[in-house]
This record gives sequence, structure tokens and C-alpha cells, in this order.
Amino acid sequence: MLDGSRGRRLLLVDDDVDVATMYELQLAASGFDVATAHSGAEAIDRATSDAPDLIYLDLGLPEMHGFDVLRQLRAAPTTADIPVVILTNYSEPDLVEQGRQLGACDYLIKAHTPPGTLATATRRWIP
Amino acid sequence: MRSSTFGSDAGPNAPEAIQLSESIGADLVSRGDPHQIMERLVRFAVENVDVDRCTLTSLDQDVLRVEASYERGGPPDFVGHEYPLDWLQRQHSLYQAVTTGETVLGGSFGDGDDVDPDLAPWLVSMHHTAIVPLAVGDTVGAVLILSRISDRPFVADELEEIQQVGLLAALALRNARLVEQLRSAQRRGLDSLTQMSLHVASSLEPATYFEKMSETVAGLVSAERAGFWQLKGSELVPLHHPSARDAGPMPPERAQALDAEADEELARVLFAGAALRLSRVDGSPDPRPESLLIRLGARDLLAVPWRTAAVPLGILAASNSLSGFTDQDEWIMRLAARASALVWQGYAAEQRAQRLQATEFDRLAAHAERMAELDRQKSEFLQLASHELRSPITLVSGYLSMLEEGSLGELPAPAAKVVPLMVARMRHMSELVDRMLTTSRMEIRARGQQLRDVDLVALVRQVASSAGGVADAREISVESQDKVRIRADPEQVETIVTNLVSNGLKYSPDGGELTIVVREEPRWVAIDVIDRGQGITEDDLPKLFQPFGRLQSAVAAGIQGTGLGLHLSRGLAQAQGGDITVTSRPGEGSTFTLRLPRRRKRHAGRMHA
Repeated sequence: MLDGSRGRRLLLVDDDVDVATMYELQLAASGFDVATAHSGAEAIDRATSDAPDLIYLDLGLPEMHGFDVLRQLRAAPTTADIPVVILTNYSEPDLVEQGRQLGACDYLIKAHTPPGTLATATRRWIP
Repeated sequence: MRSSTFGSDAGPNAPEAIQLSESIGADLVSRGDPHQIMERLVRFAVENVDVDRCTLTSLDQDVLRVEASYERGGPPDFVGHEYPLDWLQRQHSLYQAVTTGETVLGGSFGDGDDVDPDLAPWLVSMHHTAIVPLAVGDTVGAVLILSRISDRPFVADELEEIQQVGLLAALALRNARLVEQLRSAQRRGLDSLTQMSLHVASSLEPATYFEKMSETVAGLVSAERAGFWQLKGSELVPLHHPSARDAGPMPPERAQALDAEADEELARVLFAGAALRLSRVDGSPDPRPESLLIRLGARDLLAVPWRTAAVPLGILAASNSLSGFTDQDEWIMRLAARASALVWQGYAAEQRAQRLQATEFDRLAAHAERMAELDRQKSEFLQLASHELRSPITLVSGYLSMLEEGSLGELPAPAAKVVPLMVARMRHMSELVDRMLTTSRMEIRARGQQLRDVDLVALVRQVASSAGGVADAREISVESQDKVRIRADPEQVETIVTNLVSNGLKYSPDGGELTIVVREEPRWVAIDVIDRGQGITEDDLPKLFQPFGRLQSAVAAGIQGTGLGLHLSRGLAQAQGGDITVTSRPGEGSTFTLRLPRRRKRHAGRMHA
């Protein structure tokens, strides 16, 4: 909704299409350019081709775990510097710690993060 | 020395001789110190046969020893003196009596004899002497000497009376030897028992025990070898190589199995409890080539049964004795075999117990493993289910909050009213799921505790101060000594105490004071969390620690909670080897007590589901 957000590109990775759609709705309304991916492979493709400003990454993805996606993004030069925020419902402390070690900027619990809150958080990362 | 004629001469008169003195006769065959009996005998002779002195000497290995003597007016002082053979040979009358076995009646003893007056005062200074050789067994083993001071020679009429006394003396001597043998046997028996009990008492391995016992037995019965042979099927198999006391281990080929069925003699030992004693006379081979002795390469053999009260275990055998096996040896070996049977039973029982214990341990371990697996599955399921629940919560509460915020457009007035309600309920539901997740996570973690030295007082004060902030400046007082240290997982203890404190605050909503007492009991450290709240009814007490066991009164009072706190806390306490108990009075308040062991047992109590 803020003009400043216009043109900022987000990639939202979540295999739960309904949840992805819900966040997309709010973030788009908040003025972000939102793309979604529903699998790890799709996420890496989109990240490589679109070069988004921020990636929201779920962990419980089919076929490829979110952390593997994160590792590959970090390993490839074109995606290595894109900030990644883990957005998942897994809240085990060691997962949080592992995410931090792999270079995620933040770790959010979906059930605790209504779309409005996510939009506010996003503006903090990419004003 | 040939046999004495004394015994046969006295034969017809023996009954009368016994009648001479019933009391001495009784003494001879029953109890009493043999020397005392001999003393009574010589005294009896002096008093009844009309002599002035009576002396009894033993003759053993060519040494003459004065055993007892009595003289009118008291015992002379030469009792106990000993005289060698060459001296004896010089005493003509005495030597004649000893060598012929015939009673010699003489005049003054010194007549014609080369008597040394200093050496044999009991022979000189007497006018008349009767020397009666006494046969003990086949040889003359003693001499009875009767003397008269007065000049009154012994006459033939007196012979019978003298010989009767001699018979009594012979009996007394035989009795004395028997008693001595018995005592020696008793000493050896006692010695055997002591040595054997040493083996039994020391907790040796079975193999070592039987080896040592064999050595001991060989020593006690003066045999070259001794060993246990175990009955296996119909064969006797050496339990180990029979010990060879002096000659090194028995050659292996001799440690062969014996066929118990083929050997009737062995079968009698095994099954009828008989002892078997075999020997080759003069080193000549046993006529039967298959005989035990040939097969064992032994000169002689003594075998006794080795058996428990009911079961034959085998035999205990000794071979190559120093001087032939005796009844005493058999007795010792039977004793050793009996003791060893008890030891064998002990080992067998121990083995059975160990096997049983191992089985029971395996069973318990398997059970514990199964329970742990179920517990793990339950925790994992709880975790999984919580995640699954989080997805719909995310979607529903996400859209609800968007509706509430107007992101999805204006809501009609009635809808705008109910949406906040739904948002609140969804938040509660989300919290519930969070607690479930925390619970399962902690249950999983409880299985891997981090034990450290913890100062409970510091821990409790910290919990009290952080809870006090939340509790709207409500009083939480802590009563304790300076430090109470135990070994525990500090995070879990903190979780438990925090739970109890927040519970106490929650259930005493009217601002009642909360007191925490840290105290020490002999085996436990106890933390009391005392509230002045509404208390708990007796009906509600059992529900307190059940999962989701929230109390009717709490629900009615609108107190928020998931009902997992106490269940979880108690599980954590039990995982630390402790427990939580509660006492309460409705209307006055409750006391929750956490007890933790002062010393951790090796196996802490398991987390309860």
C-alpha cells in the first residue's frame, strides 16, 4: 500500500497453496510484487530467473527440504546474496538455530504471523 | 617278639578278672583319661594283691616307659622315665619276660642282674618281684611289675591273681591306645574340616575350588593324586586333571573317562554310597587287565561317592597312598566329598539364579525399550499433530485477521461483530497447540537430561523474582537456608518450579500471598509452593495430574489454562527421580511439594506419559 514498496519483488515458497495465496493477497495489497513457488525446485528456478529482493521459505516442502533449498541458493552466485526469511510452522529450537547457521535473516512461525504482520515485517527487510 | 601266652593263659579266668573290680572294668570300656585308669589300676593292685609296689610300663619301639606306678605310701617319682633297648637287654629277668612273653617270678631283682640303681629305682630295693609281660595285639607292648619289700616270695598260688591284674592292665593299655588313635583321628578330622572350610569359604571359581580341594584331599590322606570324576551320562569324566601333589599333573591320557556302567565296583560307589578300596599287593599286577588300577596306572585307590542328598554327582578318588589307605582316610574323603557336593549345589544354584536374573533383566529391558518406543512415538505423534493443526490455524486465523483489519473489504455490521470473537478463539486454539508442542518437545528432551550441580535456592529465588513481575507486584516470599545443592537438570527444575508458581498465582486470583519453602529431608530436597487460594476438593485431587485434567472449579472460575502444566511438571519431576505431591484444604489454599532426590539413583524414574 505504501508507494515505496512498489516494484519490490518477493518470492513466497510454500507447498500449501491456500496459505501462499493468502499471504500473496496481503503482500500484493501492500504493494509488493509477489511470486509464489510450491516446491523446492520451482523455488530455485524462480529465484535464479527473477532475482527477488526477499524470499520467504517454508521448510516442510515435498521432495526437497527447505534447508536444502537454502543451501543451494547460498551456493549459487546469482542467488547467494538474496535475503531469506524462514516462514514455517516448525518451531523446534534446533531448527531455528540451524536456519540461523545457514544464513536465514529471520525465522517466523506461520501460525503466529497473520498476513498483516508479515507485510509489516517485509517492509522492515526491504523498505 | 612272639605272641604272649598271657592272654590265652588268662582266658578261662577273664570273667572273674573283670569281677575283680567292676569300677575299673567300667572305666576301661567307657570314658576317662587312660592314664588315670592306669594309675587306678596300679593302686588297685597294691591294695588287693598284697604287694608293696606295682609299676606299669609301656614298651614301644624298644623303649621302655614307666606309665604308672604305685607304692604303699604314695606314687614313686620315676613315672615318665624311659629306658632304651640296650638297657633292657642288660636286665636279665625283665628281658626274659619280654622276649618269652612268660611271667617271671623272682627274688630280689638285683640278684644276678646288672642293675644300675640310679636308673631303675623301681627295680631295686625290693625283695621279690613278679614281671608280667602284657600283650597288646600280637606283641608284648607293656610290662607289669609287682614288687614286695618284705621277704615274702611270690608263690604259684598268687599267679592267677597277678595275671588277672595283668589282664586288666592290658585292657587299660589297649584302651589308652585306642583313645589316642581316636584323638589323633579327631585332630586330623578337625584339621581336614578347617582346610576344607577354608576352600568353601573363599569364593573361588568352581574349577579352582575343585582343584584346590583335590590337592587338599591328596595331602590329608597322604596320596599322590586325588581328584573328582563327574558322572556324565554313564561315564565318569575327570572334572580336571587329578591333582598330583608331588609328581606334577597327571598325564592327560590317564585322565580318561571311566565307564561307570561297566564297572560294578564304581557303580556301587556311585549309586549305593559304598567306598571302594583297591590295592595291588607287593606291586604285582592286578589279575584283571581291565581293572581300574591298571587303567589308572595306580598302585592303589580309594574312591568315595560324591553326591548330594538325592543326586549322584560322581566320585572323589585318591590313588598311590604313602602307606595304604585307612578308615580315617575314607572318612576324610567322604567328608570332603560331602562338602564339595554342597559347594557344587551352591554353584549350580548361583548359575541358575544368574540365568534367571539375566532372563528377567532382558525381559525388563525389552519392556522398558518398548515403553520408551511407545513414549517416543506418542511424543512424535503429538508433535506431528501439532504441526498439522498449525496449518489450518494459520489459514483460518490469517484470513480472520485480514477480515478484522478490513484487508478483504468492509464487513457487514453483524459479521464485523463476530470476527474479533473468532480471532480470540483462534488465538486460544493456537496457544493450546503451542503448549502441546512444548510438552512433547520437553517429553522428548526429558530422556536426555543434562545433569549439573544446582543450587536450588538460587534457582527458586530467580523464578520467584521473574514470576513476581508478571504477578502484578504480588508477594512471593522464599524461605530457605543459604544454599541447597543437588544434582539435577537445572532447566527442567526451573520449568517445574515456574509451572508450580504460575499455577499457584493463577489459582489464588484474589491477590493472596505465595510462599516458597526450600527444605531438606533425609533423602530428598523439597520445595513447597504454598498458596492461599481457593483450594482443591477431594474429588478433584486425583484429576490434578492427568493431562488436560483441569478442575471443574477452575473451568467455572474462568481460569485460563491448557491443563497440561501439572501433568508435564510431574512427569519432569519423575524423570529426575522425584515427584510432585499436593495437600489442600478447600477455601484455605494448597501446597504443592516438589521432591528431588539428594543423590541421584543410577536409574532415574522414567517420564510418565
